[in-house]
Order: sequence, then C-alpha cells, then structure tokens
Amino acid sequence: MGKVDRDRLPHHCRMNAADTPAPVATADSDWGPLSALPGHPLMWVLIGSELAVFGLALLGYAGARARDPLGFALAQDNLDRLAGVANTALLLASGFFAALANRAAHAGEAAPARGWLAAAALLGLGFLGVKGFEYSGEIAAGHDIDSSPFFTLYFLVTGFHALHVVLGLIILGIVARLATPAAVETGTAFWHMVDLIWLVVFPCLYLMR
Amino acid sequence: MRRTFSSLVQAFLLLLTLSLALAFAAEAQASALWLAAVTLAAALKTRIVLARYLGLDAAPGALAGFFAATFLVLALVAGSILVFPTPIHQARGNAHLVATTGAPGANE
Amino acid sequence: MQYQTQNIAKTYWLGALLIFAVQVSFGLVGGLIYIMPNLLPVEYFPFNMVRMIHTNALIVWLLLGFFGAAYYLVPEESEREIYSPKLAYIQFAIFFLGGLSAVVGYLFHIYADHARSYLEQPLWIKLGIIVAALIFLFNISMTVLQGRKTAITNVLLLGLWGIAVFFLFSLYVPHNTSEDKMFWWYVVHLWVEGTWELVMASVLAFLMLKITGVDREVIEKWLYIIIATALFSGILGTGHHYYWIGAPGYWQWIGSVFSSLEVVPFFGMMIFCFAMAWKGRRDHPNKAAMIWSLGCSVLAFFGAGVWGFLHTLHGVNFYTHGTQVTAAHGHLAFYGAYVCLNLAIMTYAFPYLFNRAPYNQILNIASFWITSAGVVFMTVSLTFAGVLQSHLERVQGLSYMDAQDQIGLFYLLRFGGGAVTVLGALLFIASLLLMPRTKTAPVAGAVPAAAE
Ligand code: HEM
Ligand code: HEM
Ligand SMILES: [Fe+2]
Repeated sequence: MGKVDRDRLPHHCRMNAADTPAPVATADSDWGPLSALPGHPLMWVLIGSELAVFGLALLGYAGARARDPLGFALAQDNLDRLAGVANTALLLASGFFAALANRAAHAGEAAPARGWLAAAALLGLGFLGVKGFEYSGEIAAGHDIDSSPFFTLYFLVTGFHALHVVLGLIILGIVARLATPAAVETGTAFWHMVDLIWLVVFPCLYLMR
Repeated sequence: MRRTFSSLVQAFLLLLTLSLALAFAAEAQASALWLAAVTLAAALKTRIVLARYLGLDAAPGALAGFFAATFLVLALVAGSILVFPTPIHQARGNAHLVATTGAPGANE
Repeated sequence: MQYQTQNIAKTYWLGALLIFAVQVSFGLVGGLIYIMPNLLPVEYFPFNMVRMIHTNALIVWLLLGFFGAAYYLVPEESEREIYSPKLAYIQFAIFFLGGLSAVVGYLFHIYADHARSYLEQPLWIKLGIIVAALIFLFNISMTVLQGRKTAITNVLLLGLWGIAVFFLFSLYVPHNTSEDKMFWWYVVHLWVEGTWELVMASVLAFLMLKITGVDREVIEKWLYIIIATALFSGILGTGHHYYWIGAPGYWQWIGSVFSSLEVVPFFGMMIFCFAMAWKGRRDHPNKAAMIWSLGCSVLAFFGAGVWGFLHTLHGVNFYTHGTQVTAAHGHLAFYGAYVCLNLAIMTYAFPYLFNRAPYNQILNIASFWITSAGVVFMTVSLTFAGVLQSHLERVQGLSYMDAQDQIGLFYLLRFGGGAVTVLGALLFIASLLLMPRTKTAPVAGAVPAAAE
C-alpha cells in the first residue's frame, strides 16, 4: 500500500565506471535481516531453501555411502571426473560473466548487460551439453537412476541441479529483457546460486572418496 | 564492499586456479590429506562465490551464515568418508585383490 | 461488523459447528469399538463406517469453516460487500446437504466402493461438491477482483482455488493400485500440506493483523516467506507417501529431503504469531481469539512439523508406515493446524457477528485448554502405541493382531483423552452459542477497523 516500488528506486550512480555500487538496497527494512541482501529478499529465501535441499541430499548421500563404502566407490569410479572439472570451469566463467552483467546493469548500460548475460547463458548451455554427454556415457554403460544407491543419488542430485541450470537460463532470458538493475541483480543471484550448489555437489559426488 | 571489475577478475581467476589444481589432483590416490585438500579448496570456492559473485561481502552476517552451511556440508561428507573409509583404498594398491574381493559389499 | 454480507459466515459456521460435534462423537464411538469391540451391534456400527463418518465429517466441517472464514474476511479486506449473497446461501445449501447426505448415506452403507479414505463419497455428491466449489470461487473471486487486493486475499484465493483444483483428482480412479494411491495423495497431501496451508497462513495473518494491530506491511512479508517455503517443500514432499506403494525407489530420497523441509513453514507460522503478539498491542479484548491463534500455530508446529518429521524419513517410515504413529500425527496435525484455525477465527468473529462484547471468555478459554489437552493426550497415547506396534510387528515380526493384543492399554488411554476432547468441543460450542443474551455495547478497541 503506497509502498515504494523497489525497481524504480534511484540507485547510486558511480563516478567511476569500474566501480559497481553496493547492491540495490531494499526500499524498506521490513524484511528484517533479509533487507541487507542484494536482490529481492524472496530470492534469498529461495537460495536458502535450495541450499537446504541439496545439503540434506548430500548428507543423505553420506549416510547411504556409510552403509556400503565399497559399492559406492566402485560405482563412483565410473564417473568422468575431467568432464566434471570442465563443467566447473564453465559455470565459474559463466558466473563471472553474470557478475559483469550485473555491474553493467547497475551502471545503466543495458546493452552490455544483455551481452554479458548472453555469454553467461551460452556457457550454461555448454554445461548442459557436457552433462548430457556424461549422462549418455553412463547410461550406455548400463547405469541408471535405479541401478544402485550411488547412481540413484547421483542422477537425482545432478539431474535436479541440471534442472536448475535450465530454469536459470530462462530467468537470465527474462532479466535480459528487463535489464533493470534490480531484475539483473535478482536473476544473476539465482544463477550464482546454481553455480554455488555445483561447487558443493561436484567435490562430494565426484572427488571425495 | 563494492564489486569492482578487478575484484571480480581476481575472484574468477582464483576460482579457476583452484578448480584446475583439482583437475590435476583428480586422479590422485585418495587419502585423508587429499580429502582435506578437496574440502578446503571447495569451501574456499564457495566463499568466493558467496562474497564476490553474490555480493555478500556487503552483508557479513549472511556471508558467515551461508558459508557455514556450505562448509558444514562439505566437511560432513568428507568427514563421513574418513569415519567409514573405502576398503578399496587397500584393494587399489594390489590390483589382484580387486579381482578377488572387489565385488560390491565385500567389506574387509 | 462493517459489512452486511459478513453475516453469511454465521450460517456456514453454525453448520460447521454442528458437524464438528458429529465428527468428534463418531471419533469417540470408534475409540470405543477399539476397546470394547462387542459393545455396539456391529451391523449398525461397523468400524469402517464409523471411521469414515469421523474423517469425512472432519473434512466437511473444516471446509465449511474455511468458506465461512472467506465470507467473513474477504469483505473487510476487499472493502466491499460479497458479490452475491444469494449465491453464497445456495452454495451453502448444496455443500451442507451434500456433506450431510454423504454422512447419512454412510450410515446406510451407501458409499463409493473404492477404499480411498476421505474420498468415499458417491460420485453424485462429489459432483455436488464441485458445483458448490465453483459457485464459491466465482463469488469470492468476483468480490476480490472488484475490490482492494491485499496479500491476504491473494494468498487465500490461491489456496481456495488450489483446494478445488486438486479435488478434481478424486474423480479419477485408476485401476492400478499404485496409480490409484498416487492420485489419492494428490488430493490428500496436496491439500493439507499445500493448499490448506495457504489458507491457514492467510487466516492467521488476518487474525494477527486485527488482534495485534501490527503493520500490514510487516505481516505481508511474513506471509510471503511462509507460503514460499510451504510450496517449495510441500509439493515434492508428496514423495513421502510414495515410499512403499510401488513408485520408483528414488521417491524415497525426494520425499525424505523435501518433506523434512515442510517443518519450516510451520515453524515460521509459529514464530510469526509470537513475534506479532510480542510486537503488537496487547489490549484487544478478545483474549480467547489470541489464545486460539497462538495455540493453533504451536500445535500445528508440533502435530505437523515435529510429529510429521518423526516418521517422514524413509528409513524411519519403513518401520512406522501405517501404524498408530500415523494416527497420532494425523490427530495432532489436523487439530493443531485446521481445527484450531477454524475455532480461532470463529472465536474472533462471533462477537462481531452477534454484536456482543467478547462474551464467555472464561468458558471459551477453558474449552481451548480442555480440548487441546484431550487431543495432546490422545496423540501421546497413540505415539506410544505406535512405537510399540512398530517394534512388535516390524522388528520382532509379530502378526498384526498379536501386536494389537499388547497395546490395548494405550487404546484405553486414547479413549480417555478422546472423551476429554469431546467435552472440550461441546464446551467450545456452548461458549459461542450461550453468549450473554443481553446486548452490550462492544468494548472499546473491539471495533475491527481500529486495528488498522
Ligand atoms: C478434533 C478432533 C479430532 C480430529 C481432528 C481427528 C482426526 C482424525 C483423523 C485425521 C483420523 C484419520 C487418521 C489416519 O488416517 O491415520 C482419525 C481417525 C480416528 N479418530 Fe479422530 N479426530 C479427532 C477426534 C477424535 C476423538 C475425540 C476420538 C475419540 C477417541 C477419535 C478417534 C479416532 C479413531 C478411533 C480413529 C480411527 C483410527 C484407526 O483407523 O485406527 N478422534 N481422526
Ligand atoms: C497440517 C498438516 C498435516 C496434516 C493435517 C497431516 C495429516 C496426515 C494424515 C491424516 C495422515 C494419514 C494419511 C493416511 O494414510 O490415511 C498423514 C500421513 C503422513 N504425514 Fe502428515 N499431515 C500434515 C503435515 C505433515 C508434515 C509437515 C509432515 C512431514 C514433515 C508429514 C508427514 C507425514 C507422513 C510421512 C505420513 C505417512 C505416514 C505413514 O506412512 O503411514 N505430515 N498426515
Ligand atoms: Fe503428506
């Protein structure tokens, strides 16, 4: 009711194009501790929820593995670690571009912001390609979501993550259209979250043994 | 803190270095030390993403909270591997053992 | 009462209270059959029929209560009269008579012959329910669309539409038993752990707004966070019913992970209510409404959150599935979340509807403690019974009836708790109906508008 529209808030423009401003502050402090966070507060509720889901799933992984360490290790040996590393690099670079997009959007430069977002999305597509390549190899080798406890969790966790990449691509598309600082801030926050989750999932599923 | 161009480049390069270092170590013999290295490297990466990409260095409380969560998950998964080690560690050393006892579920 | 059409709620709530009395009474009969199976002639009181009336009546009166709540709060929130009072009364007639004839039909063994708890109504009654729901949604949506839109009415509408949409799954009864169960859960789970939760959050938000006078903006933000976490966790949380019904094994992980997070919105609602009570004014004369609201949030947290989490991980549910642990959880969750919610809004609104000063506060508050103590006692007895049952049947391998023989004591205790619950329910109804007959001017501060 009569509230300030966050999107239309003036953001402090910087003198120096190399400086991104502090994140757009929320108009009101009614969001309590969430007010201090960059991007829409509900995005942070989502980020927290997602981290909880993946965190619980990985703790479930640790629990299931403890009951059969050898079975898990043997199954895990089938994964393509280098493809995983490549995907990590892709997402990190994509996140870097997304961060640059955010910077540009805050500087009021809509066109460069869109360019960086497109670059970020392109690398996201690359991630999906590599992931699809991995999946097809694994499935061809006879592993699927029901074949062993390890592969059930592997397909669930990485599949659910890949779904988020897809969703993230859609979100990047939407915020690229708007290209306002607040929209880009919120959209790229989602994208960075997808990145962040991969940084936790990848070592747990691929590397730790 | 402000997300300057150089701070973002710095963050990205650091992240990439850590990842590539892991790539070379990916095939290394698993050991407690190696697990610790993987955990710390991954934790460091999540912190960089949280602080720089997500801009949480402007909100230190949230940074600490989110980082604690990701670190906890990594540490618990790694820790559980130390507590319930993979018998294959020994088996790998002597290839003939894998052939004879390597069937899933064959614990020592 | 600011709007004439808020009066519609009166009819709905009186109907709801009547069925509430029937519901708990049949619960007591069921509890009696458990401890003295031969006391009542089984031709007239077969357990399955008694149980069906108990659970169906529960759903019917809770829904009547929600309708009433919508008719009461939507005019105040939208700042206009209900679109068509006439349609509202027609809807009541269809729904109430449909619900009543379903229950009476059960007495004469008329029901759909598929074993779907809560959905045993014959097809023509289901269709009647759908017609009533459509009338309701039309009426409420028209009112909201033409009036002021608030977060509370938006969330309420979303919840009410969801209730109707998911009910449609009750029409589809696949032959395959696994599929049948999956569709059954689309109704049952996505109701109580999805759409009903939205209704709960918005009604609680309305109550907090009116009773504590805290800023609407603050309340709306809580509301958004609560429903975001509820939908996030509740939808895929359906997986916690797919563990052993023939669905693919990965549901064990999806169900365990997401349903664990279902605790969050219930925790959020509890913190919300107490934070508002703490922050807000404490001079609202209707203390009883405040107690029911706080009680609702706490008992829902325990019944749905804690007792739900207790058996929601698939490793645990492997042992407890379908035991008395489930019944324990079902009772406290339904009571805390939805019974208390309805009784809270009724307690809040009745004085305005009947233009009385907050009436029999002592009796009403006493009924809160008595009813809640009864339900909590039933829950605890059933939890002991269920844990023992799980151990005897699923660890030691005893047969079902051999295990039952050993937990009889807890059924006796449950009956005791049930009797107290029924007493409390009757006292509650009395407290609302036996309001002082003399008209007294509403106490200052009791004027609804003053809260904003
Ligand atoms: C407002 C209070 C009550 C609510 C919300 C309620 C709710 C329920 C629900 C949801 C079920 C189905 C449980 C399941 O599927 O596991 C149920 C079953 C039952 N309830 Fe209640 N109930 C209430 C009061 C009572 C009372 C007072 C009694 C008296 C002892 C009672 C006795 C029973 C019995 C015997 C069953 C059948 C359990 C079985 O199938 O083994 N309930 N009730
Ligand atoms: C107000 C919200 C809730 C209500 C009214 C409710 C009610 C019920 C009822 C009546 C049943 C028995 C269904 C049947 O088999 O006939 C049930 C089952 C179950 N509920 Fe809830 N519930 C709620 C929330 C939750 C939450 C939040 C969780 C998890 C954290 C949960 C976990 C479960 C589980 C795992 C079962 C299956 C039990 C079994 O395997 O026998 N419930 N619930
Ligand atoms: Fe459920």
